[in-house]
Amino acid sequence: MKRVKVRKGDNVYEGIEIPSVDEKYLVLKLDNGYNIAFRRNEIKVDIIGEFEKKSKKIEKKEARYRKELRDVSIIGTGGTIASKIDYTTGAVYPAFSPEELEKMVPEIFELANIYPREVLQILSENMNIEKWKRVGNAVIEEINKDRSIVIAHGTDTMHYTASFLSFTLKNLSLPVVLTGSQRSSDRPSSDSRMNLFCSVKFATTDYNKVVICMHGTMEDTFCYVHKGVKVRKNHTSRRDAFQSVNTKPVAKVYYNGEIEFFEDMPAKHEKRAYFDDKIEEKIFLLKVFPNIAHEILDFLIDQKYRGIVLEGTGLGHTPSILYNTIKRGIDEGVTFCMTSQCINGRVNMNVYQTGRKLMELGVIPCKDMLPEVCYTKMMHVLGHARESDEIRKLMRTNIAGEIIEDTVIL
Amino acid sequence: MKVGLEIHAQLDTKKLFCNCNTELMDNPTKNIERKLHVTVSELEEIDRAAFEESLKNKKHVYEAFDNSCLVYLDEEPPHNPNKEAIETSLKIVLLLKADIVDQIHFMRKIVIDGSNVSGFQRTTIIGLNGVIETKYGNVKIQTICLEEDAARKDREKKDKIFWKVDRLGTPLIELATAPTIRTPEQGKEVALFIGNILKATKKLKRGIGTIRQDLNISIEKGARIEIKGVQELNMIPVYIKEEVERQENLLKIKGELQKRNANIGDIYDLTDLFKDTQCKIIKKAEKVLVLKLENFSGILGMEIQKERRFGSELADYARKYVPGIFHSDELPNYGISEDEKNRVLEKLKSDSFVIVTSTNEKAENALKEIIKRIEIAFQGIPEETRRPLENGATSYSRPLPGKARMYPETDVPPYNISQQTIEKIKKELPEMPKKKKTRLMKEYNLNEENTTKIMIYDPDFFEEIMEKYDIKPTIFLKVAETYKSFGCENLEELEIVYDYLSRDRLVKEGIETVLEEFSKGNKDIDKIIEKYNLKPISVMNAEETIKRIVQENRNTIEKKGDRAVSALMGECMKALRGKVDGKIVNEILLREIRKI
Repeated sequence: MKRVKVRKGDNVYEGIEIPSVDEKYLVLKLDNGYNIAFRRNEIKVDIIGEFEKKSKKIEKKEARYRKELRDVSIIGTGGTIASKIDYTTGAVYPAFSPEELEKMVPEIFELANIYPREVLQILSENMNIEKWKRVGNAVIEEINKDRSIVIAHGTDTMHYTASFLSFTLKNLSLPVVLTGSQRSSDRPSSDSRMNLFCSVKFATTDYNKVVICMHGTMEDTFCYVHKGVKVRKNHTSRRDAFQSVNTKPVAKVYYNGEIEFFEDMPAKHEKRAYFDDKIEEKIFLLKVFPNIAHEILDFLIDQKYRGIVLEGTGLGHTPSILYNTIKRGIDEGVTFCMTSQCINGRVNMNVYQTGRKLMELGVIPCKDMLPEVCYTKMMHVLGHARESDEIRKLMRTNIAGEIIEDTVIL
Repeated sequence: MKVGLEIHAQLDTKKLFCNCNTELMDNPTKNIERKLHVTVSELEEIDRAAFEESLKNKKHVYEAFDNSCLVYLDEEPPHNPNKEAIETSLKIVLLLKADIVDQIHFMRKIVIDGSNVSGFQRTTIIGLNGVIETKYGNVKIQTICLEEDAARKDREKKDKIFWKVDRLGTPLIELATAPTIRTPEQGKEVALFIGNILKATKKLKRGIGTIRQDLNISIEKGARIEIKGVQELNMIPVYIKEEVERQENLLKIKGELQKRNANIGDIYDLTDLFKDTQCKIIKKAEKVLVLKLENFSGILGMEIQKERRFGSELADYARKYVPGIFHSDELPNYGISEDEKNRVLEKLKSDSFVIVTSTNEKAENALKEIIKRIEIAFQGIPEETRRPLENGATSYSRPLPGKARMYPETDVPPYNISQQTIEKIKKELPEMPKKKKTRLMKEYNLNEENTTKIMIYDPDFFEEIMEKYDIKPTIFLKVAETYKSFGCENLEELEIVYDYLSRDRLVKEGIETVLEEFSKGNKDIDKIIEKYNLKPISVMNAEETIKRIVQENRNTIEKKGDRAVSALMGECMKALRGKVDGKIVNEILLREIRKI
C-alpha cells in the first residue's frame, strides 16, 4: 500500500491509500485510524512513500506435549470463526490459519494437546460434496492417530456438514465436534472463543459421535452440544442460533470447563474407523409451497435426480397437482422422501387423504427427520442401496440417531 | 500550554444503527452476561489500552429492556445508519465551514471496558478542517465525527460490571479542536461556542450528561493527558489549571528524584510484623507486602493537585488489584501506629515505603503497577486518560489509547454523500449563533450578559415563550436557571410556570418554591400555590370579595347552578375592576359557585 498526500481545495490530507471497492472514490486511512473517502475527480493525489505493514511474526511455540491430556486435532475449513477483513470488498473472509486460532485461544492448550490442520478455506455456503469428502478423509486420518476432532466451520451450512459426517463416518471411537461463530472473531465480543473452548473440552470426552457445539444462550456462560443429526441453524444472527430439534441437547459445557451430560455415553466401537465415501450426488431438497408447479419436478426427473426430499406442508403434504409427476418419478426409479417444513414434530401421512394418497404413490414418510438431515441421509443411502424396498427400509431405520420413534415433550 | 477540546453531544434521534428509541429507562427485564477479549486490530498491533483493560478479566452484565432489539446486544448486524443523524451531522459540518467527506466509512474503535456490548464503538468522520472564531483568535476544528454513545454503567460487583443498554447506540456528534487553545478561559469560550452551534440544529438531546467535554492538555516537557467527561462548562478552566499544576509538580518530582538519587527497592513480605496491628484493613488481609523506597520521604505525600498527592497517583495504578495503598508519608494513620511504621523503616533500612494488602497474587500485581508508575516518575509524566473529580482535580483511569484501535466496520457499506444532499441541507441551515445573538439583543433589548445566558440555555425556547406569554426576558432566565439549578430542564413544566406568571396567578417570589416542588416530583402547580400561599395579593383579595358575593347570592346559585356566573359576574367586576384580570375573576367565581 502507498502513503499518499491528497489535496482537496485548500486542504491537504495525508495517510495510507486503502484499496476501494468503488473506484470512483479514493479511500484514505488517516494517521488517527479513521478511513475517509473522496471522489477521485475532485482531488489531486501525490504518492509520498510505501507503507510497510508491521507484520509481527507469530512466534512458533513448540507445543509442549502433555501425556495426561488427550490429543485434539482442530480442522480448519474457513468461516466466521476464522475470519479477517477484505479491504477490496469491505467484507469478512476466512483467513486465519489454525495457528492463528491458537494465538487467539491460548486456554485450549490447557485442555488438550492441540494439532491444527487446515483442510479448506471457504465460506460455508460454498461447501459441497467434494469438500465434504476432503473433510471426511481428513477426519479419519486424524482419528487414526488417536486424536479427537474439532472442526471449525462456517455456521451457514454447519448442520448439513454435521449430518453428512454423521452418516459417513463409521465406527467412530472419538468425538467429532463442529463449531463456528456467529460474531466474527476480530471483535472483542466474538463468540468464537467460548465456542472453541467448549468444543475442545467436549472433544476430550468419550462421546464418539458427530456433534455441534455452540452458544447455548445469548450469554457467554455455556455451550450446548447437539447431535449432528438433530440440530438446525434456527436464527440468522444470534449466538444461540443452533438448536436441537425434537430432542434435548447431548450436553451442556460451561465456560469453566464443567460438562453436564443429558444422556448416556454411546457404545464404543472396536473396529477401525473409516469414511464411507459411497455417495449419491443427485439428490434434491424441494420446499413445497402453495402454487408450486409440477414442471419443476418434471425438470428434476428429466435431469436424472435419483432422490428428492420433499419439505412438505404440515404433517407431510403436497398440492394434488404434483401427484402425477411424483408417480412418473417413482415409476422411473426416483425416490421421494417426505419431511415437514414445520421443522418441529414428525410427519404423519395417515391423517389426511393427501398423505394417504402420497404414500400410495410410494412417497416415504421420514418420521421426525429434519429436511436437511433427510437430504444427506439420502445421499448416503442411495450411494449403497438400489432397490426401492431396501431404500425405504434404510430411510425409515435409525442409522445415526436421526430418527426418534416418539416425540417427547421437551 | 496546549489544550484541545473534544465535545460530545447526543442527538435526539433514534439509535444510530437500529430503530430503537434513545430514552433512558428504568427497570430492565433481561440480563445478558458476556466476556470481552483482546483482539488483534487491523494493523496487528494489540492496543495498549485495550490490553490493559483485558487484564481486569471482568464479566459484563448487560441489562436490556422489553423493547431492546438485537443490534445493540451484538446479536444482529447493524441496520443502515440513521439518516436524520447523518443529515444533522452534515448541518454541523456546514455550519463550521468544514470539508465534507464524499463517502462515509464507519470504523470499529476497540473499547473493551465493557461499555460497548460488541467491544467496539462505531464511529466515522463526517467533516474535517472546520474553523470557529473566538475573541482569543481562530480555533481549528480538526474533525467532526458521528459515533455511538456507550452503555450506562449501573453498578459494579466483585467480578462483574452491570450496564444498561438504553443509551448504547445513541448518535453522538464529536468535535475535536486542534490543540491551539492557549488559556483556561479560552477553553470555556470554545466549548460554549461549539455548544451553541450544536444547539442551533435543534436536534440535540437535552438534560444532564447529554453534552460532555474531553480536555486534551499538555505542557512543555509534560505529556498529553485526556480528561474525559467534563459536564460543567464553568469547570473547564479549573480542570485546565489543575492539570497544568499537576504536570508542573510531577516535573518537579522528577527533578527531585534525580537530585536525591532516589531508588526503588525490593518487595518484602511483612505480614508477621503486623500480626497485632489495630489497622482494620491489614487485619483482614491475607498478605502484607511492602515496597522499599529509598529517598522518597516527603515526595509520596507531596500535594500535586487539589487534595491529591503523589501517593494518590500510585494508588490509582494499584486500583486494578486493590482498593487502596498506605505510604510512609501518611503514617501513622488508619490504625497503623508510629511504632509499626518505625519497625518497617528499620527492617527496610530506608526512609520510605508503600504497603499493599490483599492476597499474595493481587498484592504482588498491585506493587508491580506501583513500581511501573514510579519508574515513569523518573522519566517524566505518563500519557493518560483521567477522570474529572468534582473539586477540579483528576484521577487516573487508563493509559492513553494508542492508534491501532480502529478498523473498518465491514457490516455497514460505505455511504455516499451526494451534491444534492448537501444542497438540500444547505437550504435547511439554521441561523448561526453569532447572528442570532445580535438579533436577540436588538429585538428584545437585552444586555450582553443575559443574551449569553439565553444563548447557552436555549434561544429557540426563549423566543417561543416570549411570543406566547407576556413576561420579561429576565423572568424567563430566572425561571429557567432556577430549574436547572435543581437539575431539571423539562420545557413543558417550565412553560406552565411562565403561563402562571404571565396571568398573574403566581407571585415572582414563589418561582423557586414551585420549581423546587416540581423537581421533587410534585407537579400540580395549583396545589403548590395553595400550600405555600404563593398567590399575588390582588388575587387573594379578589377571592375574598368573590366569596362574599357568592355567599350573598346563594339563592340565585342554587336555582341556576353554573349559569349563575353570568348573573354574578357583573357584580364582581364592579367591585374588582382595575385590580384583577377579568378572566381570573371568572375562574374564581366559577370555582366558588361550584362549592355551593
